[in-house]
Amino acid sequence: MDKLARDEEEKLIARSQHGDVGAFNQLIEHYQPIMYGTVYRLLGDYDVAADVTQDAFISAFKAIRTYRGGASFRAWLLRIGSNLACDHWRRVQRHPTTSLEIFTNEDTPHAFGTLDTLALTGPEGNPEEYMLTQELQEIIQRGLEELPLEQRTVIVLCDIEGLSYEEIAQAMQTTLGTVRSRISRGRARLRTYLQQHKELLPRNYRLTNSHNDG
Amino acid sequence: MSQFDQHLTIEQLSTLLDDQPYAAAQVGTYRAHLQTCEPCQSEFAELRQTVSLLRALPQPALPRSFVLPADFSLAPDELENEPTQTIASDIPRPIALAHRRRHPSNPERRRTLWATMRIVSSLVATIGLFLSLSGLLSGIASIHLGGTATSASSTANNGTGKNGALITPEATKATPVTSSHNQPAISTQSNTIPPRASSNPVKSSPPPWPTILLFDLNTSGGRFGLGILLVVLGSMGFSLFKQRTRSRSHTHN
Repeated sequence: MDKLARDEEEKLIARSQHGDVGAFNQLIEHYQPIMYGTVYRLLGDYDVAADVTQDAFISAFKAIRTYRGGASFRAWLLRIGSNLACDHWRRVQRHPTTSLEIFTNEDTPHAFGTLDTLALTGPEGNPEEYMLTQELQEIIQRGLEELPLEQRTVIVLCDIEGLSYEEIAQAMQTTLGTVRSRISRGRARLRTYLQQHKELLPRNYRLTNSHNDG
Repeated sequence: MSQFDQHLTIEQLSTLLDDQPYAAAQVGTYRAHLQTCEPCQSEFAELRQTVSLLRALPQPALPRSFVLPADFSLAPDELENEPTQTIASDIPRPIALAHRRRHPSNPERRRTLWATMRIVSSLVATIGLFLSLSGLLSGIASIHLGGTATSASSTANNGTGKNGALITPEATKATPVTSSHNQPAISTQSNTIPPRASSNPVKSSPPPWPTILLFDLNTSGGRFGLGILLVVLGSMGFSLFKQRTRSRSHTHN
């Protein structure tokens, strides 16, 4: 789907604020991939993520009048989604039986393959072009779930969904400084977790100091 | 300040990975340090790889569309007009969602139960209020009328019927004045006398009341005490059942 032009989006928001469900549904269609993606990466369960995503959009429609133009609508939506996801996570922590769902139907983490079969690099050996195997994806997801909720949220929003620091600060209702420090700590922590499985990490990684990584 | 004397912090290294305008000035300094510091290079490489792996994670496929039904509508009071932390408190739905599939009516039943208990509590409190008022008023009335009554009943012990006659002529008629049993005798007898005691408003009252929970409802003190107890219980119950429904929807981030 094409990116919504800003004025087109503003019109849809205005109509939604007057109760137009059809207009809001167009917004949903545009934002549901990032909403679902965010919630899934926060929770690690496809079905639960679907439920929470649906609830997030319902809550967003109820609260649409509180959205003030000028702020990022995407950040506003993701604030609702990430809050609901974090709330769900905390509730599940109190009843651990539910969290076992995350580990059903998955390969054991000890079935190591060779490095070459776990990740492939693109033609230039560029790290961004990794194609991650299912196993490696699962390990990263588990590493994410080991992070404290706030670090996990910034990592998902920044490194997975590509939001800017400003948008993340809006989504988490906090300052840029806090966002920076959570991101750095989250990355460091995840790095440490992945080190424990370093046999699985792609071999073809090259250090380049002059590399510009977006 | 020279960055070459000390290693870069995790936060500084992390900054190098993002193109953030705020850090443009410092980025040059950090890179310069990296050129010559191997431990920092190694740490930077690991962080960089971590971020690369995260960026390479695929977007999960949408299991379905999340659009709302065309006839979806909110009651006027459901639309929020205030900037809010109430977004988080809209959570009765997500909480119930997990349970909803298995026990669809539980939240509803429980809400009705809490509502009923609230009503019962407020009734209890109201009854208690009336009881205590009744006790209080008759207590006040008896203080006015029967300051003499108490002194009369204590002096009646001494065998003089004179003061006793001020309150209950019937009592003294009915009971020969004896020394130690007069007080209880008089009060008991005066309670059974009411139909005959037309001149005594304090004692002319409805038929005898029972004793509940050690509170003798025949006495104003007993009524007052029980009344206060019921008011307290009723208010506690009311606020207790009120809070429960709120805390159900109360979440925090």
